[in-house]
Amino acid sequence: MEKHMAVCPYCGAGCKLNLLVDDGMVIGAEGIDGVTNEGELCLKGLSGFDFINDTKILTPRILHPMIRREKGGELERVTWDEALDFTAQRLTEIKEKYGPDAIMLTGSSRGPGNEANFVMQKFTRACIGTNNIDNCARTCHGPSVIGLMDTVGSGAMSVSIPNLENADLIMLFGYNPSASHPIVARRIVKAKEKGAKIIVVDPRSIETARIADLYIQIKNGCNLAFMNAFANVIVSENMHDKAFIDAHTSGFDAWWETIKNYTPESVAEVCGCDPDDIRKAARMYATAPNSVIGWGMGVTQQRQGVKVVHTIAAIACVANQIGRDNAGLAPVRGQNNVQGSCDMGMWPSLLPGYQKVENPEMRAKFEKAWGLPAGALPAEPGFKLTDLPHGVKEGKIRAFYNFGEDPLQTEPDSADMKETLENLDLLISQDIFMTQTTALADVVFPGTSWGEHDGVFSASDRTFQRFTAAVPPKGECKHDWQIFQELSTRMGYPMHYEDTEEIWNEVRELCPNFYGATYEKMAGTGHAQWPVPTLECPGTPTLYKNGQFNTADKKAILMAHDFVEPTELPDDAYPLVLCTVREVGHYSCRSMTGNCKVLSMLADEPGYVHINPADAEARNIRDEDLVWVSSRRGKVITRACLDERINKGAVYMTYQWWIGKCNDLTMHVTDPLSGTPEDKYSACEVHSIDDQVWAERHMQALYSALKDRLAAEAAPQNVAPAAEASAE
Amino acid sequence: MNTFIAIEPDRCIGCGTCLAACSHGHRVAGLQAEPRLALTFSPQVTAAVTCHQCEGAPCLAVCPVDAIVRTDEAVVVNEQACIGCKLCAIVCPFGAIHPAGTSTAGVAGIAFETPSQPRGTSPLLAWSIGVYTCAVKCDLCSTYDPEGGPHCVRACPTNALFVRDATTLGDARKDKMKAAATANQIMMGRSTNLKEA
Repeated sequence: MEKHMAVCPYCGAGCKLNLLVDDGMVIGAEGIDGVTNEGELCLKGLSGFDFINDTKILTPRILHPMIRREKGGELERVTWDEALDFTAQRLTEIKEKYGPDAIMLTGSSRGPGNEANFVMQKFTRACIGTNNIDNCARTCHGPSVIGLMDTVGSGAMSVSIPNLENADLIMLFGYNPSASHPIVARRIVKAKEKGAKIIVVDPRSIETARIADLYIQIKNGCNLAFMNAFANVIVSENMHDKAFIDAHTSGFDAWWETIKNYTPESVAEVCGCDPDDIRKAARMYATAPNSVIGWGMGVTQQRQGVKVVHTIAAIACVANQIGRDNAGLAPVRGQNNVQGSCDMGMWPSLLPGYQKVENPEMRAKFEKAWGLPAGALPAEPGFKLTDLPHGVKEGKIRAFYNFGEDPLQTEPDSADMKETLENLDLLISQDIFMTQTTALADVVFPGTSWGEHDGVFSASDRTFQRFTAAVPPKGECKHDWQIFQELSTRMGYPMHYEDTEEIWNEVRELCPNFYGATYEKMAGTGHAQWPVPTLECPGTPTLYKNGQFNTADKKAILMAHDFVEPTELPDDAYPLVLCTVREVGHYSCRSMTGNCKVLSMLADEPGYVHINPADAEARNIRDEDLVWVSSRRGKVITRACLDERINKGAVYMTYQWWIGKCNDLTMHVTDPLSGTPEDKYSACEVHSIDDQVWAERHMQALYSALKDRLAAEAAPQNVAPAAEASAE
Repeated sequence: MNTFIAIEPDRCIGCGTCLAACSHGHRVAGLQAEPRLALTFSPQVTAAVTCHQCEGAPCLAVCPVDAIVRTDEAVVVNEQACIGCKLCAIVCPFGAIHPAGTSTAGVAGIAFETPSQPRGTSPLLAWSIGVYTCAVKCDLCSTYDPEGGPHCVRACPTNALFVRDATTLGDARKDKMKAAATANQIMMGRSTNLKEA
């Protein structure tokens, strides 16, 4: 049996593990002593390996390139040369006819790694000539990236994951680490045992609420009101650090003009909590020697996501709970390499290393390095991922290159997204599985899976770590960066890299903050936490030490905003709030974990809608019953879990299910500052089903039909192209 | 004494890594993939419910075909001998033994189940077409990995699960007695003044 070192591909915790390989098959995984996981793994890390082996439990892997010669025709397996020629020709036609900005691309924050993403954005900017590149951070921590860059200068965690356990106080706001990042939750349990105080503010009584010193159950959708009042208490009770504010921040007076209106009493009704609890929480936070605020999708997938992040950053600055090893900001990233996608410039306004496309000096540097004439790189920020639906409707976007994501599963309002994808002139999907999105594609490129390629991931706390291939690529799968460079070469901008290290060295040369992160430094369980500007620098676990923020004048900018209610409030027809959350044993669109034996056995379709027993009783719903959940966008079947931890008036669905698909219900309304959908708040109703046996069979029939359809879409790959067949 | 697995609920985060480790280990050994322990959630507590390997194990006592036996390590089900009568599940005071089966339709990943009852039906009454069930219970992984110890304990990322055997329980009892005695002394010295009475 061989062992191959890797980094878990499932969340931003960055757990190091060994893949166990026997006779060319991955047969197990074991934790190794990485900086963030210390040898531990959660169930996804431990049991999430066998999708590589193409188990076909949920949907088959794609092993050969396929194209659809005509819109709406059948997929047909072709040679790589033909697939690449076809795609290059179609993209060139669209570029010539509608301009480069009619082509939109999305990076992959999942298995491919930083190098593949870097090459993709280089292809986007240097070859196609557009900044229309984005990544799934748009639908998750986009508001954190934007909100933190606006205020403190860097869109990332300011503290490191290991240091969380040494904080004196941890406040979790709209973040459920036990489901999202069990290995980060482990640090919180350890912090508690070391004596830290824990505050949880969440409408759901999440796992951490059980061990919290103070749990405040708020109403859904009240974040900014709550945080404004929290900030109000800090200043009203004179717990702010005036010297720090004077020396290291700007805009305090204007900030206070807004915040002063938000007394705890004034928001008590909106927040549904005791004003004294807000005071208690603010006192605990401000007076502890070292406090950390952790937040997640509960903050970002809201109408005012960016504004709440502004306020959280201001609170940390005003209270001087930032810039120390155990005090700061912890927006913990969802996908394993979503930090990396942002690091690599899969962002319509940012070049790799957070260098702005609008800055002519930065563009000039990249033009020189990439052998482009001066002025060749586009200066205008491109479209956001959430601009896709209206961009296509208005005819501005004609082609979409989807890299390792499944927008039909993960983006809001799936019916609208399906129409969007069908109306494109050209949809390219580069993936490892036949997902629902790939099934609509005109071009299907089989990339290599995690476990079949090398690379570097960025963990949520800015830690670069290497992962390696355990088994050779299956079928005709090519490394993602090879596909991009071959396509780019065909389209007139030749690229040729030999391996990922060569790509990574180019990244290092172009991004001063990443320069010291060499492959050598990251060998084995080695790591490098950016900023790591020199070869000698061991990495920087903590940002903003001594109040030195990454803004132009090194001062944090305090920003305050007024509270606005969520977009779609419950009414008589749809009286419940629908909030989308995540499954602990599944990941993203579930194409990977749904193909793992253990994980698919522990949790399978149609998932659950968690509902307070009182709300269920009023609707004549029993535990484990199948139910309909409906909204103005659609109706899905799912299973009820009567759960006393759920607040009355709200229901929670995990977004991993393809039948019990909550994104058939959510609405495509976004925070205007980030373009992030308001997935945490929409109105719905839950209906009981009288004939449960019928419902069980109906659900099974839907599930089997979906699996059959995806298997049928992938089936043409088993028929070799005529030219190859005759050669054999 | 009987060795069993206990849980510290304040450490449990309800992630289910124990279930995954249990399932993987048993499945690879050719046994039922069903996890031998279960997570339960209440507003105040999250905990894994485990078999206590009772000294007077009722499951063992009621088994009509002697499919449940006591080994040196644990109370163990012989999955081949079990007839799926479910008596053991009825008498277990912890709900730690229950029937499970592997659908033949599921083996190749092409499961097409035809449910015959609502999911909420008790596992004791639930059945599916063509699936023979047998009792599954915790064997402390002794039947397939006696050296490795229980896989759930090893896998738990927050170290919330503990093997409780004669040694560990004895040590814990000594610690408790020491702590209690100290507390008593302080209490007596400071407030009750029993020694003077």
